Amino acid sequence: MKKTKSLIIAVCLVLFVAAVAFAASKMSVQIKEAQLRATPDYLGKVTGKASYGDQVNIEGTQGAWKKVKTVKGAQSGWMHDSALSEKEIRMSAGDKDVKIAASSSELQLAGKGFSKEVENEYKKKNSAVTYKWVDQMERIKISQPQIQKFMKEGELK
Amino acid sequence: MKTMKKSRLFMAVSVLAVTAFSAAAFYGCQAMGPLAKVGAATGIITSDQADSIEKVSTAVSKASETITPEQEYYIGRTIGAVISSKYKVYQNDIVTDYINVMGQSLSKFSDMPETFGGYHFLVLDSDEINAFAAPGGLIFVTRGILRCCKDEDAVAAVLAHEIGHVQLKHGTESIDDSRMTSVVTTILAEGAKNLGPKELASLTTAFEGSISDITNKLVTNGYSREYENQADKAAVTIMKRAGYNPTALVSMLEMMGKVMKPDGMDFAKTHPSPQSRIEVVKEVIGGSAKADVNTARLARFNRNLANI
Repeated sequence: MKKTKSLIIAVCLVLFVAAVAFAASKMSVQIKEAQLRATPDYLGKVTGKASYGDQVNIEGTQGAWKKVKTVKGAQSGWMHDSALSEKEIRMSAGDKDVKIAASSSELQLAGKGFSKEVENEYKKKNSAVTYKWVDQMERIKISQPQIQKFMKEGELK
Repeated sequence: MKTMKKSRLFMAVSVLAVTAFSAAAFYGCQAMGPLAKVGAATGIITSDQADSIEKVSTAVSKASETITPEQEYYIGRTIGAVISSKYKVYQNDIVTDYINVMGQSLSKFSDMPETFGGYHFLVLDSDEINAFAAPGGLIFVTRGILRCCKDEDAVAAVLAHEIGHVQLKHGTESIDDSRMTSVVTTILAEGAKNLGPKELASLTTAFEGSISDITNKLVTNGYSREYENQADKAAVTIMKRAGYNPTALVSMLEMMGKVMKPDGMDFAKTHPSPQSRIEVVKEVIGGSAKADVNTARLARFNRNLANI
């Protein structure tokens, strides 16, 4: 009898904990390309990558960092809060998604509103504005080792 | 008796579990009542649609909060394009690399190290003393402002101030709320379909309006004193976290105070006087900081920006 009681309590507790965890366990990557790191800081080794809209399970928090595991591919690592959204990001929205997105803040629609299509339209109407330099800026990639070297040489943190 | 107790306990725990699940399911449920009203009023959505939105709605306090990082990225790209079209670009790989490594390192110590497209930096070939930050992290500094820097920490102060504007979303904050209201109602009307010509035209109008709202602040009128002070405070925090000497921001402002013409067409026009900013910055830094110059950083500053 006692055994059954403790078992029921245990099961309920597990359910409760799972329910609480469920409330904040899943987040979405809200930036174009994200990196997962071995430690909760930018000097941590890159352990994986995730893309816009990818969902991750939150396994821990430390300051502004979250320990995550990607739902697709099960890659583990740390990501900064600013790369993550509590909203689910729907890459190609259906009618139902649009309704949900309008009525709650749970869902975010990718590619809607100000998008590549709107930029192209703006370009057509404003031919004096050149995107050459902006495109070139975006191609500048600074690697993790470059930043580490810069910080070390400059006696920075 | 025992069974009674057990079932009561079971009930209590179940209720807790169910409550937690419901809380999870409804967590973050906010809505957009006012937008639905506007949408219906403008005829973009039917009143039925508006009603259903209204039912689950509370309110969106500011339209700028509806801008997703992806939309912020597209706004930033066009702001960046407008600025880099207005000025000549300084094409020097050594300088560009130096500014980008420094800027990206600094951005990692901001409160918003990650943006949709990341932080990128470009030097403008202009004697004007100026710097601009487009939403999402495209940052521009002129040769003129770099010439005001006497060491690397001063350059870091300029870049950290601009990163501060990005982190605090001062650009998108400048967008008139009505633009985003129009964007949201257009998305509703469009549904899951591809953009029709009418919707595309309406979004483009809202986009053009947003671009001019921001360039008005960046290029013509400047941000409020409050925003500049906020960006200065953010700069001090970023510099401290990264290991730079924040007093470099004070020396930078002093230098600018000396060389800037008060009625000039640059920073002077769009920023509060350096003197008034210095007082705020000094207060934030506190009394203990000294203006020591790090020799390792000074050496590489001289090496990379020798001919700026």
